[in-house]
Amino acid sequence: MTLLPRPLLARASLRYLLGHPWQLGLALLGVALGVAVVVAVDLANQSASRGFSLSAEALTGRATHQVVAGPEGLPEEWYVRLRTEAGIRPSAPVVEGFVRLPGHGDRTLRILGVDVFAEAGVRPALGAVSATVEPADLLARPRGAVLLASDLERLGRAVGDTLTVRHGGRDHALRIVAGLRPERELEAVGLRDVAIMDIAAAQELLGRVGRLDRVDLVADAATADRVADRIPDGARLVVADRRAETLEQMTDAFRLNLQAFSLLALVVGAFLIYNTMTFSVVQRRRLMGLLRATGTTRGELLGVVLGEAVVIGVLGTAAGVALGVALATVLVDLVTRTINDLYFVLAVRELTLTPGSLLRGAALGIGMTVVAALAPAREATTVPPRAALSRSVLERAHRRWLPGLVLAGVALLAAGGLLLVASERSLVVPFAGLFGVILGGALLVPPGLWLVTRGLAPVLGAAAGFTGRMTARGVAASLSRTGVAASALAVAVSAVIGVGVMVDSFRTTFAEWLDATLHADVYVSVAGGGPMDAEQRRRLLAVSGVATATRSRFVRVGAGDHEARLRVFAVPPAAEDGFSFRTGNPETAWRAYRQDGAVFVTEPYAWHQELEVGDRVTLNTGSGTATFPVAAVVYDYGTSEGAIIMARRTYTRYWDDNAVDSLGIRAADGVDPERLQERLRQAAAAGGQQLAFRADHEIRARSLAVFDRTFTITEVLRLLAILVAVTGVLSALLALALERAREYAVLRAGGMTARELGGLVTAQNALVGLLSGLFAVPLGLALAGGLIGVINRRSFGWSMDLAVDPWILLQAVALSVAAAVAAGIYPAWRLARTEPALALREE
Amino acid sequence: MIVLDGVSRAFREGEHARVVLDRFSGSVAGGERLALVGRSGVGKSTLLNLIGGMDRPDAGRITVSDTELTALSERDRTLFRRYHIGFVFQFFNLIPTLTVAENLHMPLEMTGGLTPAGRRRAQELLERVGLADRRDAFPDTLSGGEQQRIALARALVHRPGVLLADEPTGTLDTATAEEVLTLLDELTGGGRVTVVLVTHSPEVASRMDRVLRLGSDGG
Ligand SMILES: Nc1ncnc2c1ncn2[C@@H]1O[C@H](COP(=O)(O)OP(=O)(O)OP(=O)(O)O)[C@@H](O)[C@H]1O
Ligand SMILES: [Mg+2]
Repeated sequence: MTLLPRPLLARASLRYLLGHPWQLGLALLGVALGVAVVVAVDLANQSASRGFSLSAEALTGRATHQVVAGPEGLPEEWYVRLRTEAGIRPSAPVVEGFVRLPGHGDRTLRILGVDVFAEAGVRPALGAVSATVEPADLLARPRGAVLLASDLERLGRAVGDTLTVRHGGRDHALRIVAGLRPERELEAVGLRDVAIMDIAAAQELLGRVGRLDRVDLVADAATADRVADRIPDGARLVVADRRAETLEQMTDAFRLNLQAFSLLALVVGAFLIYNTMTFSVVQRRRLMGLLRATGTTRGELLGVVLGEAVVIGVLGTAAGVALGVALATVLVDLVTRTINDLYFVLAVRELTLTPGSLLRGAALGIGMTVVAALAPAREATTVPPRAALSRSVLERAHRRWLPGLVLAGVALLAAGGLLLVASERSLVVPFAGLFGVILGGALLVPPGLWLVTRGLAPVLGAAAGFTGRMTARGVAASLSRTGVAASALAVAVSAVIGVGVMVDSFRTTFAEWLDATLHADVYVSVAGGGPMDAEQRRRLLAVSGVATATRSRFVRVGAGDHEARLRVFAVPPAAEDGFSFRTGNPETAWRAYRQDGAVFVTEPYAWHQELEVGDRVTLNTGSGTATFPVAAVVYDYGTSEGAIIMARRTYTRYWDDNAVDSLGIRAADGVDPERLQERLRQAAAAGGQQLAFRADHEIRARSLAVFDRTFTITEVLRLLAILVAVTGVLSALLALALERAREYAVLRAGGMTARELGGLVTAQNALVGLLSGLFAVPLGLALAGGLIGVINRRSFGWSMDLAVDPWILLQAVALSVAAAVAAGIYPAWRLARTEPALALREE
Repeated sequence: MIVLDGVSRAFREGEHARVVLDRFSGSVAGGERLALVGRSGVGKSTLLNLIGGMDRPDAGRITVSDTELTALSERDRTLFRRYHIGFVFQFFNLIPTLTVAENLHMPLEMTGGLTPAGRRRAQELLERVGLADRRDAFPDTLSGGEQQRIALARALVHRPGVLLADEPTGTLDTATAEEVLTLLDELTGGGRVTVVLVTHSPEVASRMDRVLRLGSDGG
């Protein structure tokens, strides 16, 4: 017995496939779309990840360790002593910061201030700059900068031109002294959007004269120990690779989420294959019986069906991989944008075609196709020789499966639910649980469809006569077809509902949080980033109509094994309502915060660091390591990384840093915030530092815009899942209509007009669509609950309230009906065009 | 009364056309029962479909009960068929998702005849064909002969003027065929219904009023 079909069998099978171009096309499309989504997400993730590691590697060079400064910076003298007294080299000082490029869409540019002579041992690529550029050129005015030649091209600049950058509220002209054309991809990609400057020029530009942000070292363990002994307060010694790693790990959860979504598209695609293959077997039962009668073995039949699946799988996957690469170019942009919004600055401009991603996608696509074809292939082997089993016998056989489906469905639902809540912090386990819930729900759809349509038949019969009855019974009678279509549709629609409700709930929570947090009327920050001049601050606070002002400072500090965002606020008591507490008694918490040096932590920070009220956080302060009690966990949706919130009084006690990054100004009673803002603008115009003024509602609108941008990628994936589902429904219902051609012909012979029959087909499809949509509602809500209650919390540390907008549910059900009705358009059109005599000829 | 005047029908077969009916003329009187015979592939089913308005001739005119079918649109042909013609085929006559009684009610409902009187007639017919006890069964649980009896009842329940039957006994054994034919005699007797019946069986043909052999005279 061979699994390889004989040539003639293969030819017959090929002709069958080609003879049903619609089915073949839709099946291919289904596989292709599913694979495309998986490949695209994988590629986008890999590209973002690769972009990150190239940039991290290029910026780190050969450095094994880094001495990272706190907010106060490292004194330059310390570095000099390290090099001369302790003789520690290779070592290279770095001043680093971000500036804006006005006139280029306010793009961000990383300023890397280095000593090109010290670079040779740490970052040879940068050291090489000294060969082409006179160090004096870097220091001449305007200050010199070296960028990648490719970046210069994009900016429309050439060597010798000036480039205006904005930082600290001032515009600075940089003179481009060279365009780098690195040989290695590492630097060619990793130094994107980086301007290399002399350290002194960078200090001046970034307002850090005499200070360093870090010192990079190439050191063995013993040397590292010696350095560790000399670390000044506030700074810390870190292993260079580990630092980049922890930074990137923050995005793991986000990327896992994307991957899970993409798998969903593939699962829906698998339904499609199952359906196509089942249909092709059912349609050829007579033929297969005949083949069996003429001596074809079961194995050979199995081979035919699996062979067809492999052909569809390979072709569909090939198309899917190509489509996925195209799609990935869009997704990589969205992924990068989201990472920029949620985590850190990242410039990824091209797709990295990782062979792994392509192979994974291909293996998943072909594997899924073959697995989905297993059941139909087995069914083919059960065809007895010469059998001309009627459809109804077959359907009855299928119906015997219903109780089993119910059991399996319920079991999967229960297992999925358990997995969802079983683990403490894992993300993969609850995702597995969610897939269990989805599959369990999908298995329950056919039995549910059967029950409901059986029950509906008399009702519809009373309402619309035999057409109504046929509509309901038709759905139940061809459950092997309609069931799969409805399952696929319900899964896709439930994903639409689940993700839609999740995003909407999140948005509602986020907006409510913004409303609670934005307690000031005007927010003032420095154009291009950086601290605010003290004299500007005084001018602003002297403006009449200013009631209170919250001074804020945002820094990063060492916190044990990681680096934490520290937000420092001088909150006037009147502005205390700006925080909403998740845990902690507001009254005692505020007292501890103001008087006892306690801190608040945001919810994501508490989640990532496993902190509770009463725990302590240990920070590298400017006066040594100190611990701070956590007085409260506050809601915060600004960053998924999370942050520590500290009173300005506490901060200045431990750090020698008086800078203020922004002011939140409240207007006095009876003062119009708009007028106040105008007066503030006028006052600031007198100083040299440009400030940015924003009303609370502007911040709110901007934040929501960023929120929406962050979720664009989710929307795109949701759309793709819908597309796969619509394809699935299209093919399943199309197959059903074609299969029923004779039944329809009898109706036509009996005097039913093409339009009436078209109406019947449409009604049947609409019923399938409606019921699938309705089944999807509880499933979708369960999904939303899992996403909100478990997945999001664990991925990002955010808690949010489930808010169900009925509009979303309505839209989803409407989508379901529309998809199913659309699937009836072609059959109805065909019915209208063919003379009934034609349809009756075939048997 | 059925009149065919110079009816031609050809089918495309790759490059060339295959002519099945070439300027065929003939007529069936009202209430007459005609058996249509001829070797396989000669065009019997084609002709029947043309008379039933399920297909259009390439040329010629077809008039059924004073209505010129060839002048009607597809939709009007369908409506004409709905009211005036009953069809019985060799297989697959019944709608599998409707019960026996519902299958019988279908033509009535379509023609607005599903009144209490209509239902009574359907019930009577069910009794006449001897299947009143199976009224709530679904067609696939019936034997071939039983299905054909129901098909016959269904074709006639709305009192069409014309019954078209394409080898209605083709798959039945002699005894069962006999039953169905007797029923057909009973239900269409008395000149109320014009019948055109296609058959390969000389016995069946001989029970009709007239036999028309297709193909022998170049038709
Ligand atoms: N739709 C069609 N396309 C192509 N050829 C057709 C079509 N319909 C009928 N024919 C051809 O027309 C001829 C007559 O067909 P028809 O079905 O009328 O024969 P018949 O006399 O009913 O035969 P049988 O006794 O076998 O049923 C056949 O040769 C058939 O192949
Ligand atoms: Mg025939």
